[in-house]
Amino acid sequence: MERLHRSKMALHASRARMPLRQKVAAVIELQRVYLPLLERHRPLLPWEHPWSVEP
Amino acid sequence: MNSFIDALRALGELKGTGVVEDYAVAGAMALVFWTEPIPTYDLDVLVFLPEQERPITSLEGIYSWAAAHGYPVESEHVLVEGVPVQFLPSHNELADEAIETAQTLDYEGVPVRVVRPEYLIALYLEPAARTMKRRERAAALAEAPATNQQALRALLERFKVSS
Repeated sequence: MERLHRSKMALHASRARMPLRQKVAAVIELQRVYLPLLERHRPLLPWEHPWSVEP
Repeated sequence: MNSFIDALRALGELKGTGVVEDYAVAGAMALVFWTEPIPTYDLDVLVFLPEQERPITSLEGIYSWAAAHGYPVESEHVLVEGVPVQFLPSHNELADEAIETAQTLDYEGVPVRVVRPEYLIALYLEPAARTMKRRERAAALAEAPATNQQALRALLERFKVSS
């Protein structure tokens, strides 16, 4: 359990150290993944769509 | 295709041309600057508006600026270079300080003002804003190396915000 916790902390830390541009690219990718799932639960608001931007 | 850099540049222009006196990226995107990427669908921007004669705060200046640039308005968001931006006028002393003490970070050569982590946590923990999601975000941010623990404790105490 301890090892699992340590691994998760290390993963969070490595993501936090990513270059900013890479982080924004990840946010846009997360939007593409999460928004269709969110739409299954409720209608999306007009501004809730994946950003059509380059990071 | 638009770029996130252009959206940040537009925020700088908003300040440079005096439409707002100052601004700072807040909310989940600010958190992304300090910690790891998390899902978020808009860019929250705290703003100081120039002094207004009317008693009710108006975002009219921002909407005129948006119209002049051809940025559509979607509900309470302005689509700035493809990014839905919610402009939030500073609502209290804590938000005032969050803007004043924001750190200017560099995003691919573009300066961007971002609320410091200690203030983000305090804003998340304000009673009016407190939700389970925000409490979780505050907790994650509190553990981030970017967060100054001493400054955080002092801030929460000064504004009587409980963690």
